[in-house]
Amino acid sequence: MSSMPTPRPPARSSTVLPHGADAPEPAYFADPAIDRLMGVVMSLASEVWILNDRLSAMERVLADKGVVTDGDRSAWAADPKVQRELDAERDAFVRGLMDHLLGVQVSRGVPHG
Amino acid sequence: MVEITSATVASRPTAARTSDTPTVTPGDLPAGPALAPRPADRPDRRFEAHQRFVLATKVHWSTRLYPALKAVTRARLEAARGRGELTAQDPQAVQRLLAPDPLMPFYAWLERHLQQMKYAGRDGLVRYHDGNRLLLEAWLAQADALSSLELDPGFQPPPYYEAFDVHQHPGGLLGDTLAGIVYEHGARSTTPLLQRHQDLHHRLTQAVRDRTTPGRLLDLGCGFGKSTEPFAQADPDLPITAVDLSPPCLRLAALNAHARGHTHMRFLQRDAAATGFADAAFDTVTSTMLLHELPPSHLRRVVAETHRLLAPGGWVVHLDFLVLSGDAFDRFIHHGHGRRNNEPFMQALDGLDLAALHREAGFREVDVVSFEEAPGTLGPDHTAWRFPWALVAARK
Repeated sequence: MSSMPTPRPPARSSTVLPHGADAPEPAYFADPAIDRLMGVVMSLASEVWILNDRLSAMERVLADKGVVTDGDRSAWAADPKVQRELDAERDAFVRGLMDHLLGVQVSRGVPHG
Repeated sequence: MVEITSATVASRPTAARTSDTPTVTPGDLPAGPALAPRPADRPDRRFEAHQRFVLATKVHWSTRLYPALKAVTRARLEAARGRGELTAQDPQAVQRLLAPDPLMPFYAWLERHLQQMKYAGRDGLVRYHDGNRLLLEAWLAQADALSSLELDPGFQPPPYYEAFDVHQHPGGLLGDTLAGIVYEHGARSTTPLLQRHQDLHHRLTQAVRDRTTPGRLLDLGCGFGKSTEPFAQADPDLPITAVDLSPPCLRLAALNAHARGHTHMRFLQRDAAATGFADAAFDTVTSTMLLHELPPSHLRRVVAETHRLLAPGGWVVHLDFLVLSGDAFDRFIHHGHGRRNNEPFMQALDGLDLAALHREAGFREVDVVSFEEAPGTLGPDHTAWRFPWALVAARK
């Protein structure tokens, strides 16, 4: 179907200019790994907003069509069994996210020597 | 409605490029053929949400991070003075002061990478328009039938223009036929706080008209015509010539002008340093955000060229970026912006004595002044980041 833009030919100028075709991406943090991590974080942030936006649109369309009203959502209270399931999902979500801070190894490393 | 087929694009003999002013003057241009309308933007909710997220983050950077960084700098400066440390008042001193501060790398990273998030990646401008490539290329190809457009297939752009991707536009403004479309879309949010970016260009038009009657107007580095358009709106009979290096931008400019019914505008692929027009061919020469894109040696040639092109008494008016306050923090931020956003000549421009340059070129009455791009932006209550807009006006 549609094609991506043709890759640019290498720079012909002999003038040394920053950020030219061969220039490495600059690092702003003392540890350049953080620069890359910021990329992951910001990409993730955008995806979170995109999801939020889609969900909001969905909720409003459902409300407009009378399928699910805002009141329905607010009034919905999980029965105790469902609430316990939700609580467990929430705790798993938090654990999966925050356990990384403990730096626990998930498999045995190869011993030295 | 005209369907776009190969027959729609009338064949047109390639005009031999001469070094003289083209014989057709803008007032004589025919209305032109009926052209198919521009393809509509594709609806894409993901794309819109991502672009709004990037813009919102840029606004946060402008209104929250930047003022915080400025406050931090002030505090560190005062602390350094309090300790009796001699602190030079230059951008390098500011950089040293801020080096240990955690805010600085985030400020810098975001300035560079928000631009990348805007243009590149799954929800970037390049991919978005690439998804409509066939229709857009067919629409753009109609420009070659317009007598208001003159492109030179043998044109050699100056080497600096192809050496890097200006303002991080992936692939630059020469290669991809859609580069002008992408650039135009991106320009909607270059200055994140301006509700209507268009106002900026109208204000330049007003600044020109405050000084002179435009007469025969030349706009240098017109891009896709955003800076040129307000002149035609103010006076539809004004003969306007506009030049740029980028055929993708020029095609878009010509099509936009045609769609708006302008019959007195022409767009040519010319180097601002050597336009090929006759001596004294224009009464007014303008440029917007061109100077900072030029290597200083090229800029000096552009200044000389503007003098040659003007009739006696004519004005040249450039709108660009200069830190006229000389403030160390402002220079640090602005020069850093140039480095971070692939604008390698921005710092050099700030170091030039443009008034002296113009006087040496033979201009009298040279003004270099701050420019208020929107109400209140020069006032003390404006705390957000902004470009250091400046006007350079000189009379022959």
